[in-house]
Amino acid sequence: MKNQPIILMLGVLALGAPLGADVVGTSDRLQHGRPRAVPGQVVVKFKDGVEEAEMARLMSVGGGHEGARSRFTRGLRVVRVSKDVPVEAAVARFAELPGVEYAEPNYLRQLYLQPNDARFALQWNFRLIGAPRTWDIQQGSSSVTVAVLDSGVASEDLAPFTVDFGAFYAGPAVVPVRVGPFRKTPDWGTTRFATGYDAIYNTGHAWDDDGHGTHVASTIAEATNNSSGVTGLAFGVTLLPIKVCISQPWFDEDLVGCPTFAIAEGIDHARTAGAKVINLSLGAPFPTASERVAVERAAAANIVVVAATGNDDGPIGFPAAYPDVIAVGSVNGSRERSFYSNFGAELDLVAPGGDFNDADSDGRPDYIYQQTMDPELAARGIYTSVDFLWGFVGTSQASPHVAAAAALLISQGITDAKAVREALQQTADDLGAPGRDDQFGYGLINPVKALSGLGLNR
Amino acid sequence: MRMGRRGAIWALALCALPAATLSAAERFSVGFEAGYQVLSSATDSAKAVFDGSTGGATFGGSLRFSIRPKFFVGAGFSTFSKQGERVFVASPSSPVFELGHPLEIQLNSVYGFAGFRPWPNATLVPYISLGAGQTSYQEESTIGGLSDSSDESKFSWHAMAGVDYRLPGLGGLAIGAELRFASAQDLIGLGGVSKVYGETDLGGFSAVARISFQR
Repeated sequence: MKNQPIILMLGVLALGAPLGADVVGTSDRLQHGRPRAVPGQVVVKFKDGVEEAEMARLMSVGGGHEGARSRFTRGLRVVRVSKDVPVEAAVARFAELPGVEYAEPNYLRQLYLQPNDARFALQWNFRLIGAPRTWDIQQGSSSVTVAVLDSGVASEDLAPFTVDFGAFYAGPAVVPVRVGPFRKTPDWGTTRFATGYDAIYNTGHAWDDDGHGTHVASTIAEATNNSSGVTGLAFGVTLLPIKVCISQPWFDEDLVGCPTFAIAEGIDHARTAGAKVINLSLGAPFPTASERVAVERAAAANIVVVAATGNDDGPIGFPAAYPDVIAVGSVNGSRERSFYSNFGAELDLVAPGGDFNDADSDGRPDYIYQQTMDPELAARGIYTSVDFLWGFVGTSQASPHVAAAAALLISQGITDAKAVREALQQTADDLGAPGRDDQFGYGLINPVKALSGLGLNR
Repeated sequence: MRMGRRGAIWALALCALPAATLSAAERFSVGFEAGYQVLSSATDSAKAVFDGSTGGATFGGSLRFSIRPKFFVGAGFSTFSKQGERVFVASPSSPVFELGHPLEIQLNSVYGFAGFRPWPNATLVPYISLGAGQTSYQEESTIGGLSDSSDESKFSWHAMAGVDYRLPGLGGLAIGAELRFASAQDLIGLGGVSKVYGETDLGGFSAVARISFQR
């Protein structure tokens, strides 16, 4: 891809990930839980020496009958009792019987989700914000649609097709360009997609000729627990890919970037298509009326709009700086502000965007790894299906963490966009100066805390 | 149930009183109570986590000793539990969003009291009493399969007014009704919705029916 001074904050620090051997992720999650037991069952261990006939008699005396017996431990039975009898009462009854060594409920353990995605160990960013525990609580509802306004998303296979610039190109007549084919990146698994939208070329498909949008969308909902690739924070939601960026100089190098008209159109399309969350990992240092009005319409329609603050170590760009937008900056693996992350009074939250350090000492820089494709190959319409994980660094990568967290909150029941913003802000881990500050906003998102909500006194 | 030092001293002092002053003619009663309790000092918090409800069933019991014909002392306990769910509420004026995580609270009070009966020999015996003790509060939530619990215990005041009716010919069996008000300051308000609403007292009114054996 030819480098351009694009106004996008598109993974400007994008680097290929030097992947090594598979590493199985670890979890330090708690192993205790509220007891749940199989109704109508008691696990009974009879004392050694108790004969079969006596066991049967004791089970009958206790009000039950044999349901199953251990193949490995003599005298260990599952005793079936009436489901109308509380398990605790049945356990107490059997425990008092002579000949019974112990009786206990047939407790139900919970299958903790420790994703088996082959490269999950690379995702320090998800561990930093407690993703495994988050998934125990909420994985995202398919009824919640997250619009990704970006370079597109490689979510479908497309045969070569012809594009022209239509309304966007004001120069002399150009010959339409034939592009593609494009291939769906390999780790979408069961991820759901709404019909995409192309606000640039009006092709009817949000095809990705850059890789940035696919990477961002994958942070939100890459297929998870499917033994492949890495994970997405809200992998149960529905993605709505919307192409709002001109990523390749198909017609004119000066046109590479994301036209604000297309962004505004994309926001309005997301609104009318029923999106609940819009992610904008793009921006520039100046506002536009069309974009602002579209954002205001989205906010009025109860849509959470999330945007990256920018990668200039300077003031927060737009659309992030609009009041109706959740402005997201970046932290590294040490919870420090990333050296590039824009900051200021409009900053709401920070999320992992990474940098070149190696805070977790895994031998790799702290990039954000997600599936996408090689932009150089994509420029020629070639998507590789091997080593499809790429490490990007930037506030573009931080923003989808917050968009995904917002989608999880909506899935959990916080159905008001303003309340979602409040919940994310109030539950963030305060970093930097106490309280909200311009370097970290309200702090690092804490999805577990946000999803846990409030009890009466806790 | 945990009992703080201050509450324990109050309860013990009030219970010890009759041992020093009772005469053979003085009466004793043991009663059991059931009724309805309203968390009227924390209505916003209760409504938030209990789907708009502020009350529920309460149970308890008490011992009473007469120290003079018109005066009595005693000790009692009450328990209240209710199930709801965790919510999110951004501010006192914001809507409440239910999150589906089960929540259960348990309130237990132990207290001593002293009371006055203006007409101890009437058929219907009205009385009032004031007490002090300790109220403990437990809260447990289940979030994503893991339990999260907390407990607090604070000094509490109790005010009661009621009437007893001794059933004739039933060997000292009596029935009655009682209205109560309890206050347990700073029992809540440290976190959760009670912090959002600025409510710190989990006391409130309750109305109970009482059955007792007197002699």
